[in-house]
Amino acid sequence: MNQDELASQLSAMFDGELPAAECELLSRRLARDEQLRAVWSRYSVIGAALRAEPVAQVRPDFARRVSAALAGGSARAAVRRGRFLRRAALGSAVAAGVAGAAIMLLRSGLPQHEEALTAYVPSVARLTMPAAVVARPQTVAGGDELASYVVPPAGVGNNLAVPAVLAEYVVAHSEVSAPLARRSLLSALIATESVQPAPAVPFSVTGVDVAPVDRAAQANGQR
Amino acid sequence: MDNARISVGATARALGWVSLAASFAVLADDPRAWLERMERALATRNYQGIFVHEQDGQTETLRIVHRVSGSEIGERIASLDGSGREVIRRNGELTAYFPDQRVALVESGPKEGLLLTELLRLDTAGSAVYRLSEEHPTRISGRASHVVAVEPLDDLRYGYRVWIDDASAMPLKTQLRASNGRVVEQLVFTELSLPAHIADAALQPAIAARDYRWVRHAAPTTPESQLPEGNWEVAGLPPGFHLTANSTQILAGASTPVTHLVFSDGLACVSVFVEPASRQASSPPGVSVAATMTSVGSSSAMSTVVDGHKVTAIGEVPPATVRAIAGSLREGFASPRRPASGSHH
Repeated sequence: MNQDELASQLSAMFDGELPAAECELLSRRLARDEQLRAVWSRYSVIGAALRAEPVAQVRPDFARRVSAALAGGSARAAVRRGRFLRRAALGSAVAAGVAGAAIMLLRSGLPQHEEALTAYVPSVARLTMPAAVVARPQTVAGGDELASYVVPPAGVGNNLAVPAVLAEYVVAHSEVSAPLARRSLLSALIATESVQPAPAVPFSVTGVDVAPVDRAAQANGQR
Repeated sequence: MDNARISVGATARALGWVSLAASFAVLADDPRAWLERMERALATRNYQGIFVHEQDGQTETLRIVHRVSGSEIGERIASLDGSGREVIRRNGELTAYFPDQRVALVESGPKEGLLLTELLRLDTAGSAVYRLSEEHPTRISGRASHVVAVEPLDDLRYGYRVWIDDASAMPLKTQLRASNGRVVEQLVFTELSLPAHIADAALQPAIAARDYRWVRHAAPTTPESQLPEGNWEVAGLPPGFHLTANSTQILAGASTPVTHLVFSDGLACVSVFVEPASRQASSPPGVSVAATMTSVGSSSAMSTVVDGHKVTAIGEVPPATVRAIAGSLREGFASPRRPASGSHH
């Protein structure tokens, strides 16, 4: 599977849109692919920061879905069940946004993707990453193998206490927007499951372009 | 192509918002007049109701209470769909409650009065990139309505279709549309009333947030020494866009000020926030490390690093436009690392 497919599959899994069988395959890949897991680890920290939770806590909905997948159950069916779970899936769209971005940074093949990620991360969570992100299994109550990959809290410190700054950008921008746009922005802000940039409603990763900015092209006006 | 020179500093900061009170052309033609009535109604009337927000096949039901008393605007928007989230504007502050995370964010609003003056700005610039028309009057939710279409003339921006209540000028239904006609987002009021008085109680959060973690903006006044330094230039802005505001502010949860630039094409609005990258990503001069796109509702957002600064752009425009605007930004001649390129000195 190439990185494109991987990215789209991971996004789909976060979105609860991936068929159970593929979900299971991807989960297994995640379990053995250190690089992918490192990305997931970063995501976990970002997610925790966004939720302003202690690092060791994980998204219960995602854990549940992955558990279901690993147990051979239908994750998709689980996600489709009822409003609460729909909301959970919306929350996962956040995951898709962040993790998807991380994946795509990876895909872009930047040798310094670690740097690229940290460049991105503060923009989301004003979060300083520890130099070494260690994919270390930690046992969490009721957790499953995948969800337990979190970054050790040491060194992260108070940075985790700050929720998503993009939410702040959204609010600040809404203040200069026309009333209709403002209402839309604020609706999106409270419609999402996380204090995050996130796609309010969509189930897909909307971030698609992570190519380094081509300054020359932009200087030319980019029509 | 717009070429603008932005200098960041006290003067710009002081002048920043003033330019937002951009003048309105006298609205003679009918669709414009209806749009202006609508925007004025939205900003100046008391109203409360329930609306359904639809995007990509997903719906969210929200309650809105909007109160205007003198110069103060009170507003409460609450999700009715489970999360219990709310956004409340009172006394010049906007507070977002996230009960699911037990967090409350507080942002100080713009200077008093901005919300009232800053209406739809489909001015002369806007008429070059949008086409305004009125469709057949119709009924929506049993009420006679005018339907106004604002169509973009290219794919760099979205258009609107608005069903405006004849009696109140309130938008009963609003669609955000891509240039190909696709409905990007839709908001429809299912209940709407325009009470003469709205009690304080209606603007209280439904949840007790005393034990939430409160994240506030830092002190609004920033010592001069902490202001971001450097000059920013924009070159090659997408057609129709121009710089309309430039200010420096401190966002909630942040300790350093950000420069907030506002670009508008007369209708759509894109904010660009520039701040020192909190961690030096050692980006080569002139090359962004990487850019990430995301979306917030129908708005697009982009985060990138330009010349060692974190640049975040967000606006109710297609992703490509946000990208183009963010990418038009560059550090001016003050940067020792690279010569000025493109724009004049």
